[in-house]
Amino acid sequence: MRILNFIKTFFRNILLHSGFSLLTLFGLSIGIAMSLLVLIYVYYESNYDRHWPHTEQIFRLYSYGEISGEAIKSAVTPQPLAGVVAQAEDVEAVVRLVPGARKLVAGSFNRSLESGFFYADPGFFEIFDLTFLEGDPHSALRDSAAVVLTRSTALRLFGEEKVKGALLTVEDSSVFRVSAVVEDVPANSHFSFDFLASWPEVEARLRKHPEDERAGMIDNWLHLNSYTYLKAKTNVNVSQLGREVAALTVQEVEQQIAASFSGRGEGEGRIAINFGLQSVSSIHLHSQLDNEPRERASSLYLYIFTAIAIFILLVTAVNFMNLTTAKAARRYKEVAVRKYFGAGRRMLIMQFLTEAVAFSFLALFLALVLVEWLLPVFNAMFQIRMSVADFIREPDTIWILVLTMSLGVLSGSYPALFFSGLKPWSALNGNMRVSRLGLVLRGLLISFQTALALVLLVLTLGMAWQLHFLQRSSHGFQEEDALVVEWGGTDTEGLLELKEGLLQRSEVDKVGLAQFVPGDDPTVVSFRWEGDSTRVLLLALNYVDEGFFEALGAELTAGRWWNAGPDSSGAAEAVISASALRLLEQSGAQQQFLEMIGGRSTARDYRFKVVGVVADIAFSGIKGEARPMVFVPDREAARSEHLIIRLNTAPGAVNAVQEVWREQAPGRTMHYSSLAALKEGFYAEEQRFAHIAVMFALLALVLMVFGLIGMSAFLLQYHQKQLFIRKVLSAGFKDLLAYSLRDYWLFLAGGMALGLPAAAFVLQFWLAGFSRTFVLPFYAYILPVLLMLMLAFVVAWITGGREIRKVVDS
Amino acid sequence: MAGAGVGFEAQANRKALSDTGQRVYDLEQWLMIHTRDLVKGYHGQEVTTPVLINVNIDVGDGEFVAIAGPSGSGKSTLFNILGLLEAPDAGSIVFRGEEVAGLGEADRLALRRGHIAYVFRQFNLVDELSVAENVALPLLYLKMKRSERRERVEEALGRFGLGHISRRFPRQLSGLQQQMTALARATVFQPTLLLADEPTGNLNSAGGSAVMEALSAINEAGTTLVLFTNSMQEAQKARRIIQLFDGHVVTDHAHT
Repeated sequence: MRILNFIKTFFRNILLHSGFSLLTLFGLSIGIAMSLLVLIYVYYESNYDRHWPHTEQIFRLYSYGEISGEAIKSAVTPQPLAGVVAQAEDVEAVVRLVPGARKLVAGSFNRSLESGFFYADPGFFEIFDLTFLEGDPHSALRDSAAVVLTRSTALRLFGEEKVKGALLTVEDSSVFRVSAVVEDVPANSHFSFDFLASWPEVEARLRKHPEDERAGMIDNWLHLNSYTYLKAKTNVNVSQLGREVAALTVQEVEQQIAASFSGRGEGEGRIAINFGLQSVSSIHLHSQLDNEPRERASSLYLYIFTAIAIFILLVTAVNFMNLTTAKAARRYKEVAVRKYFGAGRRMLIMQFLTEAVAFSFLALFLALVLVEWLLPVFNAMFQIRMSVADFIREPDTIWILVLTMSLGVLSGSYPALFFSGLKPWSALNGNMRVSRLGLVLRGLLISFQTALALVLLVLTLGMAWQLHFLQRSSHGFQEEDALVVEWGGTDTEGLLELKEGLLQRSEVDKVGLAQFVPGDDPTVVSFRWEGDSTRVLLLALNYVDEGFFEALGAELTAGRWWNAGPDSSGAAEAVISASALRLLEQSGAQQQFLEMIGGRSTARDYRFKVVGVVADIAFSGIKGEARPMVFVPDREAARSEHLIIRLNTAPGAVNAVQEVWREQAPGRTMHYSSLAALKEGFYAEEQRFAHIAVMFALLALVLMVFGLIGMSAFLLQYHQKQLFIRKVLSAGFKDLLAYSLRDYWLFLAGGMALGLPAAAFVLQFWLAGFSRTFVLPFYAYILPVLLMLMLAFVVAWITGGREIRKVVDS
Repeated sequence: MAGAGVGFEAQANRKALSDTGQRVYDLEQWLMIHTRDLVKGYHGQEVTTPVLINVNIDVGDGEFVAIAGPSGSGKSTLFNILGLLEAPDAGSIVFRGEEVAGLGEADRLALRRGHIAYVFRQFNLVDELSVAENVALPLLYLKMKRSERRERVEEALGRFGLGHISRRFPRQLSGLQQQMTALARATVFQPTLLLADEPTGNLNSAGGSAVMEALSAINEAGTTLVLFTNSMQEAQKARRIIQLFDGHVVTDHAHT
């Protein structure tokens, strides 16, 4: 009953002093909303792959080892691994998931170039239990030419969900029959697919056609190309299982190495591959492997985000205390009267805690509205798919309530102690005096918030600057006026004709063909200098045609471009990148001939004469060191997947290309992008973090403004008596404003003095992750300072000015 | 001087004079308040300002006593001490037979809750509460059934003619209505002692008279009343006047 009275008084108080109360409420809501968003994100990221039934029994096998001192840690494993691991006693099921190449796929409704084509063993759905809209998990991958589609893929290609039995044409040649439609793979899974076809079918076909270059991988322990998952029996000791897997595989691998490398497996040229187990639910945050099917997140970021969420809540709580007690005077009478008429200290503490908790829940309600409203922005920023509904359904929702309750208790604790300790007669007579210590504590909080906002602002500017710097630096190609068009798939018939057709158009300057273009992740292949059997070199291999370098605008730094076709010695000519040259020089060899070791079974040429050196072409941006690369001729365009088209600046050049495409490649959709856009894509991750930093910087600024409002309101109350005395002594408006807010500026300046060096330090820390960096100009530090001073001035003028005017007019 | 006046002639047989000339009561429980040598000062950083010096006051059960004195005479401090809000620095104060000088805040609260009521010059109604809610406020801190509480509030509102404005808020009331509400609030729990600190100070003369009449009525109904005032004219309404000057009791005599 008493509580109802408290809540009634509280709401009437809000209505009576609506301006300041709304400000406090809004501050609290923003704080809660932001920390909720961050916590939802942390929750989302830390629950990857936990939606599979029996997720604790599902493990992925990974490969690790070394090739000539280079460590290998890869998520992909060799094909034969699954068969061997299935023999282990503790294993219930093993399946392989094999990524397919990009394919041109046509349904009855649409036709497009698809990159989500995967193959799997028939037992896939026994481990990864997806909901079937049509078909059943046991037979879905058993028939030949069967393909399982996800719901959104079915909609995209057929315009409807129920498409079981429909035909899907791939690369205009082979036909699959849809055997089942499943729900989309949940967004927080470490892999995703759009199509799933039967891998044993492909395997059987390849065995029948040993001349197919892909047939070599079937029994090859050194060819890593598929993801292998196992479901362990219940209550299995994982380390025991790991040992079992190692024991089963070690001999197979050793035999293969011995066969492939004529007994070499020791010393500097040592090759060793082992297999480990990782729990699927740990992959997203903790896997440190190459060749992940999807982008991972760092657990470090999650710790940082959790800390940020807690920090936001703390600052919000302290701001609430500040704002509540800054305007304490208007509650003095009520508290005094309650004390006169029998309220004890405990009851008053209860009252103020109840109020703060009620306030927090009111703020939570507003915060949820804000979250719902901001979530799309946030999803776009973090590139994820979260929804409040997913989060609210979870039993963990109780934590939101607990958190809000705690926030209420925390933020109400100081007002509760402050008010309950008032002497009623002093409160009634206005003889309240806040201790100097209270002022200093509030001031330090302002300094801290200012420093934090400054650090984030400078960091944001620094990130923007670094991105700009990176994008303007040379990437080894000229991105202006160049298009990259995907040919798509392995069927290259008609590609050379298309190139010729394009070259005949006046709008087109140059055309080049390549297997990989900037933005791709080229295959890394092992090489050695001819005659040097002691060392293996890992180089990215790219099959290109002779037009590639000029179309891309690459720069030759030594030697010459190659001629297509083998030279008199029978070796093909190769151009290497500058960083490959450095690597080769480091190895001390002076040979001119490179010999390919890995991937030899599928290559046409394996002996190359190095004739030229090209400036490093950044395939994935210039954040890290350039990747050593070898460019070898792609004769008859057998491996080319892309065209690079350099246009002249005539208007309608892109239309001209499309026109030629329609003539030469009827029925194929032209997927293209500009080289400039691909380059932009290198820094998507940095861009994402820059956006997040902008968000936090803005939030920090908002929190700082709330802090400043609280501080100025508090100072005016603190100095109120002095203000009246000075007014009587004929001090003017400006004198009074300057007098009452002296400490406000002092603590603000203190925060800036603290924030500037901290900002420089944090920025350097971030920049350490880049191989090329810049020096942030001094005005990038001055601008945020000016912005904050301006905000501080506005706050002082509005909140302080109004109160001082009251004093002057009284 | 303390002891010079005779406040309780009817009970003359119950008191005796000590050697020092001060009154000594053999039946202390008969008294509402009994103070001996009360001392209170305000302690600044370097100087202590004495506010009450050796104050001896007795207020009998059911009495109407006025404590009169100019500003700075120590009235407000005495109000707080007699109201058990503040503890004296030295001396004794007995409330309904119990020594309270050495008690802590919580014990003093337990003694005054439900027994002592206060009325102020500034009315001091809670702005966020309606008239009825203001009146009900002291009952919230007493264990009482809702129905009983409602009954008592209605009765108090009726007594002071506030029934028709019970849903209004203080800012919608005249000064007199506010002070009447304060009186209703002060008497709703039927206190044994009512302390009124310049209750007419913010009212015009008509309002002042109405409040004084109401206070007399409260006293006649059995509540002990101590009126703090700087107006001798008002003090005359009491049956006994204690004059305070610079922290000393200068006179204490019955008024007829």
